[in-house]
Amino acid sequence: MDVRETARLISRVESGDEAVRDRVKALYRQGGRARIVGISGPPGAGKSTLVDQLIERYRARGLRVAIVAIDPSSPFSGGAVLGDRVRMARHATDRGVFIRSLAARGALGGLTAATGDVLAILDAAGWDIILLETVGVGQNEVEVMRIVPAVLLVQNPGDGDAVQSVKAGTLEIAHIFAVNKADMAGADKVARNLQEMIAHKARQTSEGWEEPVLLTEASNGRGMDELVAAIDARFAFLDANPDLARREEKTRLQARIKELVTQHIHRRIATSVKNGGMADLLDAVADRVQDPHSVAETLFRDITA
Amino acid sequence: MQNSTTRCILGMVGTDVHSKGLKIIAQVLRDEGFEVIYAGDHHTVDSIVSAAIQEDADLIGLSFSSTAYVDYTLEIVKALHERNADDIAVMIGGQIHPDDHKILYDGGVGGVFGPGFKMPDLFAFVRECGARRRAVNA
Repeated sequence: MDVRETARLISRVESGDEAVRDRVKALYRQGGRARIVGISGPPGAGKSTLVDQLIERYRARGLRVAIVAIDPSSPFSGGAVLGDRVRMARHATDRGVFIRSLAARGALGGLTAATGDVLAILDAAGWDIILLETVGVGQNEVEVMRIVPAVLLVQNPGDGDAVQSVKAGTLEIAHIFAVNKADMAGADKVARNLQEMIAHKARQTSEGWEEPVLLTEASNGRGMDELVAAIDARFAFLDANPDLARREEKTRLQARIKELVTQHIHRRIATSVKNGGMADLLDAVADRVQDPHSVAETLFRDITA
Repeated sequence: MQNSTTRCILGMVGTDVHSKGLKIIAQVLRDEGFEVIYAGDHHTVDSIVSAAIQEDADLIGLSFSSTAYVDYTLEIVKALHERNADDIAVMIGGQIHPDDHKILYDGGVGGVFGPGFKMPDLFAFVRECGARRRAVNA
């Protein structure tokens, strides 16, 4: 699959085009080789700059790297400015690098399903490393990290962010932590705070995997070799513990499949509503002859019949 | 769920650094509901075309404050053709002289938005590029 075909297939999957579903099913079955790494964190933490550095190092090893960078869509207009690839611009003519920007498109939770398909496409297309970058601002952008076996959380050195990561639930999802812009004041403190929070977590993200907290300066490359080593170590850990790796894989797949089922239901409901299926039922509920639960049960039976 | 949005990649080629106009257009297009891939400045013909193909953009938007826009733009149209990506439209904006409109349009440029252009015209053009590509791919 060449770049153009890959890119067009991604677009069709993104727009929910059902005509390509059989193709995606086949591609999923052909995949499984690529190493997928998720990178998330608050805006301005330097994720894209860090990704740019990772690309350089992986390319030096002769690996082909694909990047999927997800940014939120405007809740008002539905549009988006996708500005991550700008920070990786120096790789733009390297045929061993593929960068794709995606807007979250107010996903209704469908972001995970669409992203899963995009990863399957890139995996089958032969990319060795796939980096999935999201901004950890919304629930969806954090949730999508659940489908990835190695998650890196990038933090700012400013104080407040350590608390932020607890609120957002990213602490439970990440395998590796990097405090970026480490030359700035407060970086060591944030690193220590993170280490404490990790030590007090109810459960480890991945049982038996020690979550490292690294200090990095993506803008000049400091700490990047250690970061690459930590990512290598994460995959080595999974390779060395195949039972655990398989259990985790199944948990990830469960999340994806649940979302796909939900999407099917959403689609059926949307069609049903469009065909006027609910109109009479709504009158009955407004008149208190029927109640919302009973109508929902009837509707569910109808759409899954 | 059919959920298509028109994707436009915006960038500047060469050593031109006056990107303020580009950034404003990026926001304006976003607020109109389009997805803008902001590719920034210092692109070569190869890098902007490669980006457009990877992003499966419906169109490329280029901004110029230098005078080399005819050569650059026509090279980009040619490169898209050579890489089998003719369906990606090209539009340019910035300091475009009316005398150059003919050579640009004849050369395959789809939209020229020089000084004094009207936003509704820009929106209509972008929308049309998206609609046209969706119709072709359907």
